[in-house]
Amino acid sequence: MSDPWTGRGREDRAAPEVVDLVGVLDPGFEDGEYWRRMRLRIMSAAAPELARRRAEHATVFEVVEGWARMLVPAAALAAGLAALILLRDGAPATRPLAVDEFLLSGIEEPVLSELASPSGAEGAVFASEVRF
Amino acid sequence: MIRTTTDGELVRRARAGEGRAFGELIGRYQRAAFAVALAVTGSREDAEDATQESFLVALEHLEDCRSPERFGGWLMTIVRNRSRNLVRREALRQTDPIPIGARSRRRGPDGDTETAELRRRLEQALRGLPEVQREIVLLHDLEGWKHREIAERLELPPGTVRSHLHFARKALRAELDGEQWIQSIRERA
Repeated sequence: MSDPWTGRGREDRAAPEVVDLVGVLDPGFEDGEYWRRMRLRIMSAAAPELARRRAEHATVFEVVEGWARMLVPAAALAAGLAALILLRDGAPATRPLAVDEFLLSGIEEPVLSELASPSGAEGAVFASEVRF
Repeated sequence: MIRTTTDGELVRRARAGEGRAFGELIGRYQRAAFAVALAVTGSREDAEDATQESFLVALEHLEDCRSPERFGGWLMTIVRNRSRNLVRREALRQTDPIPIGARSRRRGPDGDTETAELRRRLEQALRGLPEVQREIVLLHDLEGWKHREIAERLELPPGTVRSHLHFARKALRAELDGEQWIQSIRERA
């Protein structure tokens, strides 16, 4: 009698009826899908451990690639948002101040004219010495 | 069946977390693992639990498999130990012994009551054999492993395997002699 599930040869035919009877102990004897289901169940239960092992064995390149996969879209999104915010803020751009304008800003006109006078050019003049 | 990838290669790939490699190892050894578990537990349901548990334990401890080419033998040791633990746990849980096959009948309907009865009688007859003989007869007659494969994986001399198989079958035959299934098989032969 042929092996109903493995098809593999048997060497000892001393007790053929026992060999044939033992076949009923195979769960796949009545349920053709039994072994496939068992394999799937084991694979499903093994998934977390396999994932842990994959993460542990990842190469430097794979780690960088993994980071890049997350970071590049995030950076692109951030850049897009920034551009959107800038475009929506329609305020006119202010003229940048020159350095001398910045240094003189807030100083009253009489002070400025005194500083610009020929006497002022002779020596250092402090703003506190200027008489109005 | 021609195996293009060795067990050693599959073990190395499974160590790196490759699901396909581990799936292939399950496909190669789940029947043998079940046969060993059945030999120890004597119950299909317990054998099923022990088989699944053993594959998961094997995966978690793959680094301990020092000879990946001999994964089969290493796995069978795990199956045997897990099955024995299961039997011990069951024994502690139950004060009254449950007849062999009783749990099989409780879970799920059997399509063929005659087959179920034959299975029960076989399980009972197998119980009368020493554990090593049960393993050998199931690996050989259920899984179809050759004497050489059994000898390698159970780390026994081939002559011992042959002898155990012979005595196991003789004992089973004596136990089942006179049963209607034996008679019907003889009549068909």
